[in-house]
Amino acid sequence: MKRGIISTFIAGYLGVLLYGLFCHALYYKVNQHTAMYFIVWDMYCGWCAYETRAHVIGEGESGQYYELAPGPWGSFKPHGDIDRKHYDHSGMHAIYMGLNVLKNTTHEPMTRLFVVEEAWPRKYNLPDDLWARRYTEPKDRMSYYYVRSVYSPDGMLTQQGPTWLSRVSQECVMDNPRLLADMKKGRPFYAVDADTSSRRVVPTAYELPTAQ
Amino acid sequence: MMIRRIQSRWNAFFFAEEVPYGMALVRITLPLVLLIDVLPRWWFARELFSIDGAPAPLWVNYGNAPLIPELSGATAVALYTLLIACLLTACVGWMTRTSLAVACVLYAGFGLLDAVGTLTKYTVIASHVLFLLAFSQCGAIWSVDAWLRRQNNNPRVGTSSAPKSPVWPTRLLQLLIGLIYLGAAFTKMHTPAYFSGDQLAFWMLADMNFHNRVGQYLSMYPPFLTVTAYLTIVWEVLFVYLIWSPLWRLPALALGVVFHIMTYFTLGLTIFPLVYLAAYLAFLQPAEVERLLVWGKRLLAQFGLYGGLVRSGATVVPFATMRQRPAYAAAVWGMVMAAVAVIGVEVEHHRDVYGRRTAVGPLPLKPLDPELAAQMLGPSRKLRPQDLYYAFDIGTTTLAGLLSDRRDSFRYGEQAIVQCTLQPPHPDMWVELNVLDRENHVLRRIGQVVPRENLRTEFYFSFDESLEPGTYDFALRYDGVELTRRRVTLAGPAATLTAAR
Repeated sequence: MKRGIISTFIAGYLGVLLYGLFCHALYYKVNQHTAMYFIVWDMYCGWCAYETRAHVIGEGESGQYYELAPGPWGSFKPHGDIDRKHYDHSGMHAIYMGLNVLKNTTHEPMTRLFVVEEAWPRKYNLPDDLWARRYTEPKDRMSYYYVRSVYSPDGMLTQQGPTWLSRVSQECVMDNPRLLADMKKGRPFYAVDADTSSRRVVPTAYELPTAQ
Repeated sequence: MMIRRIQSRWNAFFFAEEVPYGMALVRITLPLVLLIDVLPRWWFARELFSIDGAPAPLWVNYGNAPLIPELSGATAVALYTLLIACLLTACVGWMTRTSLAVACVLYAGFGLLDAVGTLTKYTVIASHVLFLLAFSQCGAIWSVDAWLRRQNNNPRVGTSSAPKSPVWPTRLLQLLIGLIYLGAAFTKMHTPAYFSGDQLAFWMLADMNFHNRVGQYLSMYPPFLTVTAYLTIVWEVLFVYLIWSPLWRLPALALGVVFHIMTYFTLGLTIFPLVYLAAYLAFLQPAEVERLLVWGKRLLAQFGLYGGLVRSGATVVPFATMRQRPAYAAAVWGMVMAAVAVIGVEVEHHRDVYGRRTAVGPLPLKPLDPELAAQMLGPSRKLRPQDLYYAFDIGTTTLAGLLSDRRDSFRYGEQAIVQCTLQPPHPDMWVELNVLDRENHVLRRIGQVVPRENLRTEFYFSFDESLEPGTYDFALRYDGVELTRRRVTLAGPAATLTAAR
């Protein structure tokens, strides 16, 4: 009896693990439920040629801007030398870090809050001596900034865009007059999917071609 | 007949009885590893995990309903303190099963509450391992529980024979590790850039983890990365099969140890490799552990330590009441846990993480430099041409499509391969290669279209007799701008001599 219960448990546990493998291998419902994170082994599934950072900024009524994360009490660096907010790749949580800082500090009234993305090519992360071995030109790192989302002082979302990388990718595709003309012909309105995992341009309406 | 054979194999595989040395070692080491990760978060528990802070629940990313309730500041601190205490008691094997079960629930739960700074795949793997440990008899040896049990039976016995138990939790842990590798291999198969070394190179250049100079150095050698990428994926796929083979078990495990240690040097990972190395202890066979124990005892005896330890262990019996009533141990454990949680809440309250109760009240916000703010909030800049290219190399041989011999000197008759690697995303580009002499006169101009889906392009250039010996510059140009240049030397007999020959 006891062995039967344990065998059922073993089969169940292995079944769950194999289901996770199956879903992961065939892209089947991998994002269907939060619990899938515990059985899908997609470590280092993506990659990116740019280093990105997140900034949470508040605009005071006086016109002065403030850094809203990390708080003045200190920074928590979970996996290295950078603050927790920089690991928010989805851009969904950084604003709450800023709101928490606002809640626990003294400050003038705010008019707007911003989540800004910063990006630079990862090749500039090379230390100077390795840079000198790899490149002949001087190391000239420049950050690209991009306002990812704008919020009211109470955290209400008023404006949102895709990630900086998605935007750059879309610009590369859209830099095509023929494609732009085709898009204008049949489809009256387009929305850009702000979902970070998607780089698609999604038609929100579709008009069937009519006979000339 | 067939069913009976399967049943017999199933029983032999999952229900054979062994002394749980491996699981006991995992039980001792894994909590210590997790404490490295957990302890620094205690100072920020209110901010990371409670509604009095800024938690980042995983279910928000998935768009699902909350999996667990949101915690108040004091509750989060109390439970987080309890997690630390349970990891410690699991490590020493006091109320082992309960400690592991509580630690598993709390560790996974806190991970779920902070998907940004706490939850990673190693959190998930460690949660699985804690879960399986809780079902095992890992507390039967080398634990406070075992010591109490021995004292209860016969205080003078000292080291009695080690108890055996069914191996199914160990087997599940071993299969878990193998299946995780298989899943990781699927991830790599889904990523074409993994096989070209690009994915690895850019991860090695990332500054998201700890400093990883070896990785930064290796990122300059893509062919090496490609070779290791293939080796890694073959090993990951085969691991779950090889670990049962007497011949391949040790090489597969040794390769795994090297692989995980290298993730520290190349990617700057710390807890992830340590979690895996701790979990690998489950692969140790009882005979191997016993051999190691004998060797260790001999070593200690040589220094006169072993006899002393045994003697002192047999005579000291604290908690005498527990010896008579083992259930007291549970009550004491519960009281200690409650006391630790209360002390944790009190200490954190006095710490005043947000500085609310200071003499000047809450802290002021940090103003941002107006110039930087204007830069951040201004219109987005267009990508600079020099940011569109990643590498520009000259050589003569390729391996897996990557230049494998970077060179700066050539001889007559050799053909140079000039490889340009671009940074994704990039537009469709017209890339130009200019070959210049010492006086900066353009000798040749070659151009190519690089579609946006391509990361690399090659130019071929022959060092023929039309060139004088000397130095030449290869310049990469895009959009009328020179991005970079490399200097090479053409050596050998002069062109006229070559022609005469």
